Amino acid sequence: MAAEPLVTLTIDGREVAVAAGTTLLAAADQAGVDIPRLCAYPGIQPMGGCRLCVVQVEGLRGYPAACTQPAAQGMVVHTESDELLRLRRSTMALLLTKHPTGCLLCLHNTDCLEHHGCAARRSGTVTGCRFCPNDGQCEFQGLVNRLGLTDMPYPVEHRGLPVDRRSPFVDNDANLCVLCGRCTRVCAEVRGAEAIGLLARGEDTLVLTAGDVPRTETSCQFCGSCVDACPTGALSERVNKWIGPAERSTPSTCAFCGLGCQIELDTVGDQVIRSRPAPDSALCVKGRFAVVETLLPENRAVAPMVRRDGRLVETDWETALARVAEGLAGCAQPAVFASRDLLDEELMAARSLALDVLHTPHLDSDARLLDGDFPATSATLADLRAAGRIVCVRCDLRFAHTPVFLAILAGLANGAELCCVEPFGTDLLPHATVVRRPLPGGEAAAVADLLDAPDTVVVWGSALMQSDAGAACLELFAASGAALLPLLDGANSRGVQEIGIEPADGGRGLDTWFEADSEVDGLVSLGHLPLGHRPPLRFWLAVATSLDDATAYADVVLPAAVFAETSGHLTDLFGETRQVTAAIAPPEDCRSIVDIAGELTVRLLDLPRTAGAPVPRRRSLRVRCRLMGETLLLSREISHFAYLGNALTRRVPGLAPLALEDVVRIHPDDAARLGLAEGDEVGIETETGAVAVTVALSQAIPDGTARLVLRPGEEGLHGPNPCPAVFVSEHEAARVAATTAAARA
Amino acid sequence: MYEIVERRQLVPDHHVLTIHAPHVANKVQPGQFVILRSDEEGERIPLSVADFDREAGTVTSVFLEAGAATMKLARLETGGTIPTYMGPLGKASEVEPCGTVVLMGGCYGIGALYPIARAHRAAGNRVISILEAHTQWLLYWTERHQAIADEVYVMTSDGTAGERGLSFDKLTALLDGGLAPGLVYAIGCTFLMSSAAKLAEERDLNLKVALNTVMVDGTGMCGGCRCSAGGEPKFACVDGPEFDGRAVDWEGLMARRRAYRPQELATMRRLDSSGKLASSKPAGKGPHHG
Repeated sequence: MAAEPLVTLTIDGREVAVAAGTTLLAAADQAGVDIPRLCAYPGIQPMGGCRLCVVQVEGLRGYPAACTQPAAQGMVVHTESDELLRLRRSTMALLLTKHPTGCLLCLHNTDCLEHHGCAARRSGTVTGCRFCPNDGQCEFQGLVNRLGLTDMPYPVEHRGLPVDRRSPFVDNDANLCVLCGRCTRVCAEVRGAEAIGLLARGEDTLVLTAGDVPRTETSCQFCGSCVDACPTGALSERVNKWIGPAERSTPSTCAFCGLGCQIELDTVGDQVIRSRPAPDSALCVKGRFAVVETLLPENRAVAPMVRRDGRLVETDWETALARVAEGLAGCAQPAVFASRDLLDEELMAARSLALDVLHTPHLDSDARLLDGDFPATSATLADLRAAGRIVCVRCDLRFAHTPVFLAILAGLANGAELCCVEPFGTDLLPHATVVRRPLPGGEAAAVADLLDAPDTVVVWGSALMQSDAGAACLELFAASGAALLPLLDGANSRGVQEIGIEPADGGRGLDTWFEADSEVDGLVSLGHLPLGHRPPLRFWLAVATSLDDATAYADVVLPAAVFAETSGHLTDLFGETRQVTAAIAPPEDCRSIVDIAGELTVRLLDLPRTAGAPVPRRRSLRVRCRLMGETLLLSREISHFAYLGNALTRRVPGLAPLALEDVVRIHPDDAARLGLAEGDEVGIETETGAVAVTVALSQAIPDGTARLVLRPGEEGLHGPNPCPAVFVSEHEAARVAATTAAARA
Repeated sequence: MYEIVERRQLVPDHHVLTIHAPHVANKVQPGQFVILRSDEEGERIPLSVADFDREAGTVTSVFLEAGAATMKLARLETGGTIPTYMGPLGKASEVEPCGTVVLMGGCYGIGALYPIARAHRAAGNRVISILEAHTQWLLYWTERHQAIADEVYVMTSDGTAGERGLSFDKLTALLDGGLAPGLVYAIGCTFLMSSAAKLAEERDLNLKVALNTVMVDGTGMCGGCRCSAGGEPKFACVDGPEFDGRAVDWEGLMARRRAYRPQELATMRRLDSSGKLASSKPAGKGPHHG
């Protein structure tokens, strides 16, 4: 690409050379001249709306807006003068009529701030700066101060709008909105979502979703970009709403999937208050909104626990570790499980614990079960942006791997052709040139002839690898010569592969540890093992971050630190090593998994072990139900909302309406035929078991099929996938659930 | 259960709450307060009494939507009930002839000052009320104060109503003009009250403030409202709520008010995620959406 010709101009006496077509605002930034601005924002097109960036150009009439005026050879630009200041102040005063807080002009604001501190009080709607979540970090406050605005010549009205709290993560106090349009433009131009817009006209204009429906019913990705773009307190993140500005910020890597997105963890004292994308990065809802609540002590295992008289009771570390040594001494063949979300260092410790300390070959992780036998990644996000053709198979990118969605949109803008092979609807389909909608399981046949174009990148999600069609598709992908981009859900599935968390010689894989003929009789799980029951074991040590169904059946639980509390490395799905840095200390009694492994090594190294009494093994139970007489093709997948094998939805309630876990989605026509309505409880039975689930209706599901997203821990992936599933009447649902529970117990 | 005779938003975040409670209305005196709960699981909170009607058996407060308990309170509807309404609590204001009384109120204090101002007027004192708000749209009850006071001044931070500045700016100007009040009241946020205390120290004023501490039982048992006045530990509930403003340890008071902030924020988080706040709307004066 030929370089743009340069033009030279002078801004406030500084000479600067910029590419032709550069705006005066960008040229000034380059020259180190800071022009006041409000509606201009990185990454979006200039709007020329707020008129705060007006400048004077010698020889030009009037006061052009620097954000829209292109630089020209020889221009002489002045950004500060009495007249410009007068214009900017009157513009700001007009904006203040839409931002009714008298505090901005209060003569005692500094003393009041010193007395109360930032965001001192919580309130319904914001009635002043000390009552505003944005206090002390507010761009608007900064502009008023910078322009030295002291008088309010216009009457001010509060619009009396209620705070909109319908979004799971964001509050919207429209009374503070100055209609700069940054949120709506970022949503459309940067995120490609177009979930919100400036609706109505004139005085009544508001930032709303189309039809003012809740954001969950729009294309909103819950990425938080609108909150980050808001220069006022109108949009605020609920979880840190009244905490005030961050004291420190720590760069790290998000551990909620394999993309290795770079994040900044904002902290106040010993609390992470916000996770936001690092400069020039983007995040999905997990990285942006799930971190803070995942770390909250109220959602955590915070003390060692041992089983006494059938119940888990809190104890101290020494007692718990002694109990571990005693328990494992009675196991002839313990197994070691390491979650695919652990850091490289933690995986190494797990491997060493199995092979060098416990001398057992039964070592495995959940990476293979959930992410499949993935090949090496041979595409980058940059390849997507420059691709000739992008082929997506089972890519649901709205709430997971969303930065890939952005890269695909960039690729389309650069002329790529998008081919989607999706049994179920996704947000990509409207952008696709070729749309194939096979039944679940039919992906391989549908994708076969799409792989031969030059510069093809194939992207696929874990739903494909969890399906029986996965292996056939992988063969096609490998044979095609296309660049490959498997979207791994595990934060460190690649590390699991490289470090070798896999059964050693004579060892069993995770999927057969608990079968009837298995010799595995003890278990050390680092991270949550997706089980919903007590397997036939003599002893189970769960090193866990929260208490849930998985830990409920363990003999000892040791509380572990999570990624924002420990430092180490992750190997992302591209094979890059990413630095993870502790931003805060773990809760008082929690320890890092590396430290825990060290403690275990001291106590377990060369520990003599002899098998105790045999463990009774149950036969799996079959559930029979009265049939409704209808069979749909059921596709099962494990939720993307998982961390260390835990369901994130348990810790972050706002994720539940996005995740739709334990909900079976079917087409409205099928539902009508079956006599089912949204929210009905229904039982579904397959060859291998039965579950009770809730019905949701979706046009995105083809007739005759059903999509079921399971929480990690549900035993939903055993047996063929997809498979025929029989729907049983709602009266049977409760009995199905009870029988399933009995079978587990 | 006590009937909510009225729950209405006066101005954004400021609500008037009138409860049918003859046992309180019969005995309550200006300067006293009540303790109530919005629901069976609610926190006990103290509210200043802003008016009462012995005949109708009703007691009125003005409260600010400021935390979890008051956010729930602000969503109760007229005609509903609350499970707890205890009072009258605290010592009544001492109302004696003292010449001129200046009453400075901001926020909920504009309401809390009203019965005190009325009592001083009835006792034959000259009453000067200074009502402050950040801005014009947060002012309320100006007419009520005008009906009972000799002089009423309105102060706003941005000058959109009355004069520009806060109440103690006006008091300073009045003092500079030769006013010599026998008694000064300041009720509202701690910034108003502590600033008034500084002024009282400089100009040797007899200043009363009503402290708004955390409180549980309101009868001197829990100690939650402990504060320090004149170097002595005091309980705001039984020794107050009114204290000599110059004697109050304001820094200690602020530290104690912040003590339960993490728990308060956690409760607000739970309330928010429960969806209880999402579905109900406080009565605003503008158009609704959603």
